[in-house]
Order: sequence, then C-alpha cells, then structure tokens
Amino acid sequence: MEYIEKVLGMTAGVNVRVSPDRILITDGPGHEAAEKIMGLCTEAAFSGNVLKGDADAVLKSPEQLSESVKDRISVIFDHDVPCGSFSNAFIQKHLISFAKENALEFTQAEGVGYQLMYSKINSGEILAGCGQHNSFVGAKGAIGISLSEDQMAGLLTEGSIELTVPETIHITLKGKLAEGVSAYDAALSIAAKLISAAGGKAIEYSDMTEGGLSEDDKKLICMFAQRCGAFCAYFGEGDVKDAETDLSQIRQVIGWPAEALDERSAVKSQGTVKLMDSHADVSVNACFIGGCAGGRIEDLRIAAGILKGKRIKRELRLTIGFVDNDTFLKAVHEGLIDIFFDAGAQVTNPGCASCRSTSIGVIGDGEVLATTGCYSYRGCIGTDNSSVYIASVGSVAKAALTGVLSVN
Amino acid sequence: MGYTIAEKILMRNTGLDHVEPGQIVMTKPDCCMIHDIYTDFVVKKIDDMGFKKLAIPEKAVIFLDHLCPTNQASGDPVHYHRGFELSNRFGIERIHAGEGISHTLMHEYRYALPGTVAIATDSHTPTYGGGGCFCTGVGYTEMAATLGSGEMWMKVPEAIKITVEGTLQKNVSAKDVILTVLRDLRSDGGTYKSMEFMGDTFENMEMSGRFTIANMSLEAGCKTALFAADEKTAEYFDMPLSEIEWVRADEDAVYAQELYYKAEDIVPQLSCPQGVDNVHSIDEVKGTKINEVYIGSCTNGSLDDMRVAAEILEGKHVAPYLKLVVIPASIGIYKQAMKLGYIDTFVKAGASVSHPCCGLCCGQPYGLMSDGEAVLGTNNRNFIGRMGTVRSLIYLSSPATAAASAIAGVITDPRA
Amino acid sequence: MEYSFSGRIWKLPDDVDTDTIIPGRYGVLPTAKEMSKHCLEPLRPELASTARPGDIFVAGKNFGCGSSREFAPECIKALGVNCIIAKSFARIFYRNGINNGMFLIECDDVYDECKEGDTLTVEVNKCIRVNGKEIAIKEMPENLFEIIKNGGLVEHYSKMNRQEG
Repeated sequence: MEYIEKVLGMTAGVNVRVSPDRILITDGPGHEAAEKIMGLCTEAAFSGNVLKGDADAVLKSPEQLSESVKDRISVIFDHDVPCGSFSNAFIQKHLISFAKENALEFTQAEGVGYQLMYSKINSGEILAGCGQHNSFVGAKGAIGISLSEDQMAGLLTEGSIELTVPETIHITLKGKLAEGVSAYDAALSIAAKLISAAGGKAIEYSDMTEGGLSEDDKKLICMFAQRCGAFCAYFGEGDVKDAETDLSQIRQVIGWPAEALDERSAVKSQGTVKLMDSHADVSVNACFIGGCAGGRIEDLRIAAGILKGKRIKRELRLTIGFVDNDTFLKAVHEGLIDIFFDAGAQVTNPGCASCRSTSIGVIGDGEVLATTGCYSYRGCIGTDNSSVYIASVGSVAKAALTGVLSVN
Repeated sequence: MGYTIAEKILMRNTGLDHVEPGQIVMTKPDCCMIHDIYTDFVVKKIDDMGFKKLAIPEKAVIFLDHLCPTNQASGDPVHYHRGFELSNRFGIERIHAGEGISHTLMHEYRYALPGTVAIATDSHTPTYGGGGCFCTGVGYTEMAATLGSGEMWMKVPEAIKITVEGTLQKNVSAKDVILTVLRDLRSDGGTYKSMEFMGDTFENMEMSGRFTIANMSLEAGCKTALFAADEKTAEYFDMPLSEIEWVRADEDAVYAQELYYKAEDIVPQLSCPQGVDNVHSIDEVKGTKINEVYIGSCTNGSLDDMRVAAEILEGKHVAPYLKLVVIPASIGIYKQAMKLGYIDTFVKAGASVSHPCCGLCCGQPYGLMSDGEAVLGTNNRNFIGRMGTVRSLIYLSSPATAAASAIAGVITDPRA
Repeated sequence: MEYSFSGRIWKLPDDVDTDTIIPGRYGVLPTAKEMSKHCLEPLRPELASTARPGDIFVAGKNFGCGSSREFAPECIKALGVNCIIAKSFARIFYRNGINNGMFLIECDDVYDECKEGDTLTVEVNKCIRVNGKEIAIKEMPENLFEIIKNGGLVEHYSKMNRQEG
C-alpha cells in the first residue's frame, strides 16, 4: 500500500473526505478564504494600493467557521511583516479579528509560516494551505497539500474537503552533490525534469545519497517539486523505484525570468522556469538572500563566507532576510549580521521579505534582481518592466560583489 | 553685548563681528545634506539652473535612508539611482546608502560639527543642534542654489531660551521634556526662532537626549535648536573642548522669550491625534488601546533609546495581537545593540527588528495601519495619514512609554 | 510681472501641514502636475479637481507646517494657485514658496473679512481688497521680491549662469 493511500485512507483514484490535521492561513495565501467567511474582499475594495470604496463593508453575510477545524488552524503573518501597503494592512486587521473571534492560534513576527508549521506537524499528518510550497513539510514525511482559496473556504465551513487519492511516483536520490553545487540547484533541476511526470501525483523521494541529505535540503527538494503540479512531495522509507536521480550529475543553475501571465498562472508556471547551467552572465542591480529557500542558517553562513571583508558593488542593493527568529538570533550570535552590514547589505526581519512583492527590496523599471526566492515571474517583486533570476545563495552572494550573476 | 548661541555661530561663519535678529546675512554652509526623497529633484534643479559644476562638492553629503530599502517600485529605485548620479556627476564623494537615518548619521559620522552651519533637504535638520551645530532645513531648489553658489542667505533668528533644572524621574526622558515644551509653545511658537536649551538637566543629559530634543524642536516651527558644547560634546565628536567651548550663549545674551521648567515636575507626555502639539500627559490618555508600537526614528532610535526599551521588555512579551516594530537608527547602533543583547530581547518579546532606515515614520513600509487602528511611535510627527490610512490614529511618546505600552496593549505609564 | 491681480478664494484652516497638502507617498509621482491632482486630498478631496488657475488660498496660521517637501508649494502652484494669504507661514514652506515664484503674503486681517468663493484683489506690496474692505499689507524684503519677480530661484540662477556663459 502506498504511503499516500495509507494517510488518506483510500486507494488511488478514489474520492475521499479528508480533514487535514493542520491548516495554514497566512496574510498571503489563505487570507482570501478567511475573507470569504467574513464576507469581505480586499481585491474588490482596493485597486492596487488605492481604496476604492469602504473596505470594511461586509459584502455578504459572514459564514460560520466549522467547530471541528478551529483548533487545527494556524493564522500566521509572514508575508508582509511589518506591513507595507494599505491593502495588506486591511487584510491583517481583519485576519486578527478572524483569529480573535474564533480563538484560533495566531502568530506574527516569528518567520515564514512553512518553517513554523514544520515543528508543529508530525510525519503522516496532513497540512493544507493555499500557498505553493506546503510540501516543505514533506521533509519529515508529512503531506503538504495546496488548496485553492475556494477549496479552503469550503474546508473552513464544512470541516473537511473532498480529494481524489493520487497515484505515486517514486524517485530515488543517490550520489552526492559536487563541490559548489547546492540543494537549491538540485531542487530546481529535479523539479524541471518532473514537469510531465508529476502532474497530480504524489512524489515519494527516497534518500539513498552518500552521506544523506540534511532536513533543510529535503525541505527545498520537496517544496520545489510541488510546483510542477504534483499533489504533494515527501521523503519516504519505501524501496520502490520508478526513477532515480544522481545528485553528482547536478550542476549549478540559474532560473530564468518566467513569462508573466496573471499572477496565479505565473506562480503555477514557476515549475517550468528555464534553467541555465552554463554561458549565463546576467548584470544585476539588486540581490536578495532570504526567505524559506535561502534564509536558513546554512545559507547565511555561506553568504557570510563569501561577503566577509568585502563590499558589495557600488550602487547595488543587497537585502538579507531569515526564515525564522531562531535563525536570525543565531546569525546575530555568530557575527554574521556584522559581516552583512560591513559588506553594505540591508538586513531585514524574518519572514517572506523580498521573495514575492511584499514591502521591501523591490526593483523598478529596467532593474534586475538575483534572488534565492522561489519566484521569477515578471512583476513578482517590482514593476512589470523588471526581471528576476533565481539562484542558489552562493551564486547570489557572488553576484552582489561583482554585479554579475553567473554559473561556473 | 551678549550673543545667543545662534548669533555666535552665524558670526563665526560669516566673519561679521556683530549681528542682530532680523538682519539678513550671507552664510557659507559647512555641510549640505541631501537625502533620497529629494535626490531626483536636486539633480533636476541643478540642471535647470545651469550649474555645470558645484561650488562646494566636498561639503555635500548624500544619504539614501527614506526610500531604502526600496518599497514603491515605481519611484524608490529611481531616487536611489539619482543619488548616485548626483554623486558621480558632481563629484560628491560622501554617499551613504542604507547605512541608517541621515539625521542620526550626520552627527554619528561627525559631519555636522559643533559651531558649524549645516543645511539639509529635510525639516528635522535641527537635530544636530544637540551638538551645537546651527542647522536648518531647506527645499531642494534652495539646496541646488547653495551647492551651485556655495552660499545661502539667512535671516538672523530671534531666540527662545528654555531652561530646565533638576533631575528627571525614572523613565521620564528627553522626549517627555520636549513634548512638554511643545505643549506650551504649540506648533508655531518657535517659528523662525532659535530654540536654545540651558540648565543642569541638559548639562547632565547624554548626547542622545540632546539630539532628541533638538530634533523635535522643529515641530514648534523653529529655524534651529541649539545646546551649548561641553565635555560630553567634545567626547562625542572627539574634539578638544578648547576648540568648541565658545559655542555657548553669553550671560547677557538677549532672548525674545524665556521658558523655565523643573525637571522633577515633568511627567510622561504624548502627542495625540492629530497634531504634534496636541500634547497630553500620561494620566489623560493611559488605557487607550493601541494596535502597534513603533520604536525607532531619528528622534528616538539611539542606543540609549534601545537600552531603555530593552530594559522594560526584558523577559516580557508584547500583548496578544499587538505589533511591535523596532528599528535602530543606524548600523552602528544596531551592531552595539546586538552586542549588548538588546536585539535578542526585542525578538523574544515579539518584535520585528528591521534595517536602520526612516521606515514607518514617513509612511514608508514597516507597519502601516488600517482604518480605525492606532499606532504609538517614538518618532516626531503624527499628521493624519502619515503612518497608515487617513482614518488611522497616531500617538507619539518616549521609548519607555512605548515599550511599557507594548506589553500592556494600551497606553501605559512607564513609571509604574 | 503683475502688480495687481484678482482671484476666487478657497478658505483653509490653521496648521495645514505639508502631509495634508501632499501626502508623502505621492512624492514619487514624476511631475508636480500629477502630484497636484492629490493636492489637499486628506482635507478637501474635491479641491484639486475643481480649482481654477488664478484661484487664491486664504488660510489661518502656520500654513505649510511640517516636512520640508517642496512639492507642497509646487503642487499648489501646478494647480494654478500662485498666491496664498495666511495669518502666518511655516518657515520652510515660506522659503520654498518664494523660491517657486509664488506670492506668499502674511496678513492677520483678511481671514475674517471673506468667505470661500468670494473674489479678492491683491495690489502687491500695498493692500488687499475684498468685500469692499481695503487691508494694508507689509512690504516684502527686497531680496525676496527679486526672486519672485524673476519667477523663482531657478530662473534667477539660470539667467545668471547663462550670462556667465
């Protein structure tokens, strides 16, 4: 019996009513579902950052949150903390009321939601959220699934959601990452290969690598895999093998700017980002190191090692963030933040920060950003006439010094 | 006859051996500061005026602090790059991007020295008067003209003498002193004047407190705000006292108005919605619910301010659902705050600690409020819509009051 | 250079600050003309779209207090309002306004003699006439009047720099 069939309680292909063990609502993905319950709608009230009407007006009767889900919900502010726009201020104000009135678990100013949920969820449990990267928790064998805002609203009122149990594809990882190649490169490269195979399926990874992968590395591999349209991705104990990937063959990559459609499609199309592993030299104006994919303590130590004693290129902007408070304080105690300041970087607080169009480190017309974030669609962190390239922390840190993002 | 601090500095700068209030003099500013809100405009005006080169590039300094980190994609990066254009085209070597708030760095980096004249494209320029610098804010057209010509006309101001004697109560600080003065002078009581601060309370006050008071004096409309230079000033600027001890008013200086306060009588004060001079004492407003507390800015973002806040927040946590944003005013202050454990304290108390910049004070990111919400900040201005929507409310206070209020979730007396 | 002009009055209260005249977030709009569409938005949201060139502001005390932003007088001027009569002006606003070639007249006695929509006439450096009353005004210092006569500080210096070649 496949792992996913065990967790969901039915065989592949069958519909089943599922009550996720944990539900994540953030001030980014998930907030619309909460608003549907409250009878509000930020998108209707705001045009960009300008208030069109009475934003606090209740558009339809509020609905009742199902009692059975209340103690499974975590409301976490991580996307725009501290708040940087009127529409987000509105969203946060109402999410606070939502959390207060229903006595929901509420967290803010502690870091990225996925990272915080990681310690709350157990292997074999299900995490449901509206973001693209819930399979972050797959690193410990938990099932992270992505719901639409409508599905989430249904889950909140009914207490459960109907899903079709997916088939499973088993991928064995073996070998060892070469010098200078990171799990970020592996995660992007593996995801790129999975596009056709993974649609709608559960991806079960087996770690047969030399030396074993760290938990943080597994998080990256799972979260990027989910973006290919997979139902979920996780690391399991199984010994079935449909495919294998030799990590020793992975090279450093840069993710090219994705074609921007509307934001939703652009986000979903991130799985198809073009990767370059050679002959790539991109001039950049700004860099970001942080978020859940590049703001872990190992990432920051790598960045500090590259930046120590040097200054970033004149007129270039480097913003650095952290995945959670623990990481931030470790960086404080290890002297990494002093290194970042001395290099000319700007250091922000834990959270999603500059990964996706929140408040800081945005780029303008004609500018180019190199980032360890997850997204490279046009306009994700600035104007429509700006470009974003995604890459590992080592590549981004070096780009901050030279002004050029390249791969070996 | 005796001269005020302002008169003495203007005389030294112009070479005149006598000046009097109302007289128009031509000064040669010793330091001209431009920050990133105005970099774009200063470049345009220099070009419009037809200056091919500047008279005093070595006296200029550029700070990118209001729009750094960049927040509004359509405009902030443009101003950022214009700052570098200003530096590159006109040979202004001193440019500091994202190192902290300009007004803090002007004295921390020892650009605005005691006894000198400084101008900046920002209203809160009087800040450096805490160190005995005659400093005043100007528009960008004025700045372009001064950079191009090397000089600027000024009217010699009348002066107000503010004397405070005695010892402040615990957790009552410089901010409460200046708010008390603002309550009495109101938002135009100091217009065009030099506000000069004397008395043993100030002699015993650390430099950070003097800068706080000078900074906030602008909200009474002053042209400049000045403290005498003493041992503390000499140590802060690493200058021999003998070089700057002339920066003090003569015994027989003539003042248009004199105010006197006993330090022991000063209680925590707050500016209430929606005017800086709408000052009320803590007893009148305590218990008011707040949604957010902001600790930072050029007014109260110093290491001393961080210390006061950390001492109150140590081992505690903010009230449920309350947002706390802490932003040290410069990289130097942030580094010291890390060493001393203050950053740990803030994070454990539930704060978002972020990069030294102006941030929320001027409505940039870092904690915008929605309709019906209230923020308590340690900054210097609470005009409608400045830190959120036009239907959000802003209170201003000292760091001690702010920290105590963050724990309680309502405006709270820090002396309790 | 007009030494006498008339205009329709808008009345504004005491302590109109520069954040009210032009909220900070509009400071990154590319031109004063664009900013002028938001002039006084928090206080009089209808004013920017209905003001006409030649209109005059009559205000209470401490007009233009707050930040040094020069867009404050600039966007008022871009609306076509080139004259403000106030009981008093904040000093940076006053300087910025003069540098932009605007007539800024400090006078205590006009405010109570008129209401919004009235027509007022200014005889520069002499008097103001409104509703049958003639109110004397102080003469402006010569160096400031020079700047206004030249149309502002930019014109003043560009003329000088052109002459120097």
